[in-house]
Amino acid sequence: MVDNCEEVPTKEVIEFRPPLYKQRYFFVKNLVQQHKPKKVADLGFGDATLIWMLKYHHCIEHLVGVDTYAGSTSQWEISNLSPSVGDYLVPRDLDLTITLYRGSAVQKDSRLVGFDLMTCIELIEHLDSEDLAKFPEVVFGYYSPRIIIISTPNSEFNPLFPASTFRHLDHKFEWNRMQFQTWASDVANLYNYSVEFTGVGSPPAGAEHVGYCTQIGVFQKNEAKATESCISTPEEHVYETVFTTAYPSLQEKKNLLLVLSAEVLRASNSMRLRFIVDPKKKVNGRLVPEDSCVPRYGLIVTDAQRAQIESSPKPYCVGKKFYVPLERLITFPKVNRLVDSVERLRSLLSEALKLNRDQSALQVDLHDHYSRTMLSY
Amino acid sequence: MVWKFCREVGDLTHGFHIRFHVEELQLATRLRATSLKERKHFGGIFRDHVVDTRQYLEHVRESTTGTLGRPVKLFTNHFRVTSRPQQVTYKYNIDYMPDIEDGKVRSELLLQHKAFIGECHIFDGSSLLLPHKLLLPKTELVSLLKNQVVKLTIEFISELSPNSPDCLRYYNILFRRILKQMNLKQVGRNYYNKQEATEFFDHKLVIWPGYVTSIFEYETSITLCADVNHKLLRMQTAYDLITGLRDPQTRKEDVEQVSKELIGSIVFTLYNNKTYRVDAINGEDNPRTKFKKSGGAEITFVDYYRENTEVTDLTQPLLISKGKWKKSQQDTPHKPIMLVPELCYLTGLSDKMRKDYRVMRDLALHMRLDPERRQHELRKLMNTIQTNREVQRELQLWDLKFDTNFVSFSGRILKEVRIFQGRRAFDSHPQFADWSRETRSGPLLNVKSLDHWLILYPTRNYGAASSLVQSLRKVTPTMGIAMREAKMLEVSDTVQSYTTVLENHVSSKTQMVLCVLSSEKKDLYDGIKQYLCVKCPTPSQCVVARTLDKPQTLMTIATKIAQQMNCKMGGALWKVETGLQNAMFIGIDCFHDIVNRRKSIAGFVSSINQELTQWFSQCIFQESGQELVNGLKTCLEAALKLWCKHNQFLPQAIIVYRDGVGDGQLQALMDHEVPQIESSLRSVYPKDSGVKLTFIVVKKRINTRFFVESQGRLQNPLPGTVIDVEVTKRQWYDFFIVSQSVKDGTVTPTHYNVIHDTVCFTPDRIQYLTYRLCHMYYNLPGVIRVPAPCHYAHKLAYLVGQSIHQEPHHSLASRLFYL
Repeated sequence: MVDNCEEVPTKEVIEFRPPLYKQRYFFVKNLVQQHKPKKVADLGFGDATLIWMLKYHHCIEHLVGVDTYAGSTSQWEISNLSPSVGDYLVPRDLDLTITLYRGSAVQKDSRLVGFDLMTCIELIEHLDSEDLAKFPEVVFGYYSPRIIIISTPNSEFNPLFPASTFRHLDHKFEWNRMQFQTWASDVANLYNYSVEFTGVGSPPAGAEHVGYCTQIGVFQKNEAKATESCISTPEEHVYETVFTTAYPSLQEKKNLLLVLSAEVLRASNSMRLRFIVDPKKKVNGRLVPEDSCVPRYGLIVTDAQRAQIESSPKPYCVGKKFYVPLERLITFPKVNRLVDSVERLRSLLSEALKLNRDQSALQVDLHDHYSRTMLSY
Repeated sequence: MVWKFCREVGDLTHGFHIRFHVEELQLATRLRATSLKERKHFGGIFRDHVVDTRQYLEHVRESTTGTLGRPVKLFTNHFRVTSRPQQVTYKYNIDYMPDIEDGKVRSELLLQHKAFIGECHIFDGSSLLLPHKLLLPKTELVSLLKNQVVKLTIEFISELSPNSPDCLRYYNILFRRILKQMNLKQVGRNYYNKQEATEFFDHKLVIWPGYVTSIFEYETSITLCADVNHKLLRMQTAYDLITGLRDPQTRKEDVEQVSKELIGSIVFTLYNNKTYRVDAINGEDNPRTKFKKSGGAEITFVDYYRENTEVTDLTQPLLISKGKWKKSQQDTPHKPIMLVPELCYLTGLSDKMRKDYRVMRDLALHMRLDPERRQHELRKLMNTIQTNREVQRELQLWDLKFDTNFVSFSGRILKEVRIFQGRRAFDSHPQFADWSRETRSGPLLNVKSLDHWLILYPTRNYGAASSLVQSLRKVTPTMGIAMREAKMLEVSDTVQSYTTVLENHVSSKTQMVLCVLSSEKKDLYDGIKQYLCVKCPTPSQCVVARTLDKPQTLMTIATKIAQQMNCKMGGALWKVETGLQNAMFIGIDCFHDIVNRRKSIAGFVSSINQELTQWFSQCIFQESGQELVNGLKTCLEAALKLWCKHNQFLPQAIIVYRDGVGDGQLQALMDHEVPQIESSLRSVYPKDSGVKLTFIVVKKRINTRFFVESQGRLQNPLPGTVIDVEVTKRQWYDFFIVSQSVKDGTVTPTHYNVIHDTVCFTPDRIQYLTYRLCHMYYNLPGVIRVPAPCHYAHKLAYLVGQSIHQEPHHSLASRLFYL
């Protein structure tokens, strides 16, 4: 994303496309996609845009924001960070909780220990020298996440802007690349991290020497994972929770049942429609299809998947009821994704849908309104 | 009339099935209505509440309360506001520079100055209500939106006295905020409790219970009206629906069939949490089609969505949405939006589900709350309000308090109405409001003999057709109908076949055509009705063969069909005494086919004779979504002419029952429709004729409910219960009547608002008259929710809007052909 962006340098105002703040967020998103962290914290979450963007990543199970200015939750946060109707319709695979705290990045709170990723986007330049000095010890030393992303303005870029002051009134400093890299390398050394430098917001043609508009340091912890889990930190709750929400997920049984029922009915429906028009023969009081009764479209993507369905027991019909063996249902990729064994499928479906007497097959009506009126049979 | 659609079958099926289906229909329309209503601005109802229509009605200056009937203690789902701010409050206007559209963002920007405006405030998106005065009448503030600076100007508008109706608007906003604080999820305009969701796995449905609330001022006090409401979530995509309609052999979907099922439905897309209306199906393109992104780069739909979701079927057609439908934007062209069906979730109840008996049964059981359960749910709401600390804190800031008990008062039960059928007379059943048994056991009021009639049936339904004829032969003598042999004609299953046969066999002598249909295909029904209502005007009756399958119900169905045919040929079933002479009754209702963006149709039905057994019907076609009727003048003149021809003189009074009026239209009715009628009366009648006019607005979609207590349990009030105190309005001449009876669930009362009345009806007389008119609908031997002319107008508009789409032939106009 970052590499593809086009910048349009104009004579007076440098305009980034996409806007610079978005480029910073996309940078984080890309890193999340690459490393698949489970627990992510954004220090200085501001208007929670980054948190909102990150909630769409399926790998994340805990998303936390900390900001000194986190007031009582705003409508924007409530409506954008809370689960929407869609989140209930298509629950996530894994749980997700989002929590926003009021607090500072230089205060220690044990709830922030043990994260996979922490982001400090345009944060450090707002810290005064005293807080800046405390910052590494809290974030690197105490929180000690696997990866830390720190972004800050690159002052070398500033001459390209019309005004020659700091980019924001509240900035306590704006570093050049040398200053940032020296600070970052020292911190990384001290807390046993390795650091790589990059940035977003490419300079316009002819001014390449100034570097990126925003400089970014990506810190990765050197030590092995095993050691960190051994450290037990005493409970210390300093931050005030201003907002918390939990997303519906397939970890919750009723959600799993809903999604599974819908998938199973989808599969059985596609076979049922085939069955109605396909040639059939009578075997032991059952009407069985002569062909394999595999739906030709959707649901299946590859030939291997098709072959697997074909080799499973065929659906059949007795009277006005249509039966699909569970062994066949489980060969459908989207069903298989949700449950791994026929036993599990049986025990779940028996709570939600109608199975035949020996619980080996799903039972549905052979005809519905459409097939009764529209299909000639 | 057919045996096809849920609603129609509801009117036709007999015995206790009737109740079930009628309610089902109500349930279905309510479900659909909520989605429409949600989009309407809350301001609508509010506007109506401030219109004072009573000021012109001298005769009810003293009181709008009647005395007839037996008093009964009633409860209603209103909670009295026991305390509210008694001081002056201050209203400020907020202006944004640059202008911000999104209400949430506007509120967000304002709240950045919470310290300045204070904790205690109510913001409606553009104006702010404060309990205190700000230092300056005009203040300029600066807020930050991302990095953009937005200038806010807060300007003083007015002081609001505690009694100002404007205050109530703010209380309503405050109350919505409270519901949000109670962890209810806002969807559209209502709030739902997702913690109490119920899953229907086999229907792929989830239901969230929720609440509809409003705070308004009524007769003696301000109350909070709260009712239970449900949100339906469907785990089904448009793609599921399409594949269900695909021909399994050719794997190609029938675009026409898919269009029929999908067009007009609202779909929900997960990736952006938005809803779209499907306006067309694009069978040419598929997800592999490329489109231009905003940056100008071309990309396929599959690739575009890949980041979030996988599109698995690359051959599915695309859906086209022309953007949001807005009344104000009818003529502006929209840029169509393409949608991938697999990513579009269906919302609301589809026709298919409505036809699925199992779905409707399960939903009805769950959503149709009886009075006890309804009270239980509402108590829960009130308890939470009382106990939730955050909510209480917010309410205390404004000194708002609510009573936790239902408001209670005295209503009256009107006497049962006597039904006259030929020489026989009987009373409507006091509890079930029904006389189906009585009506079929003797001659009808006015009988038409069946001499020349045709029966068309598909070859394979010969059995159904002949058993129907046999049953008709058995049931008609009791009713006094003389029936000759029908000409039996075989057809095949196409519209073409039916119309060809009709063309060859319908003559000027033909009184009735009975069509047996093999299935519930809408186009077949529409085709036949179009032909018989427009090209070759003949009364007709359609029956789906399957309804004739069950031997145990065949007789009841045959009875019903015989009565129906009798009405369609100009006969009459029964009558009631209205106690009013020389008056013409008019019913008006509208049908909006917003789904197909077709023209709206207003049905205009007027009485022809004194006994109110003959009705004259006319339609007015108007712009899509338009509720106010423009062509009233012509209709009324034609109606008067016919009445005069029939009775040899003009009616002395015109009584109009106007249904199908949306919220917020009350003033417009006063300004627009009443004068139209008055002016046409002036042009038809000689000067000083003294002709009188009464105009009554009928509302079925209301949230007020009434209950009676019996043996310690809340129950539905009896049919005939009239309410004209406490929850009526001081500025209106209005009343509620519970006219019908429901088997389960809570009965919905109908609200009547007399906005113009030179007849000078006393409350007793107008209530009595209105209730009697609810007994005059010939498709149901029982009391219905609205006066018969309203329901006839509804049936007419519905048939024309749904099936014929053009003006029915004038020769049918004085028959109940649309029954």
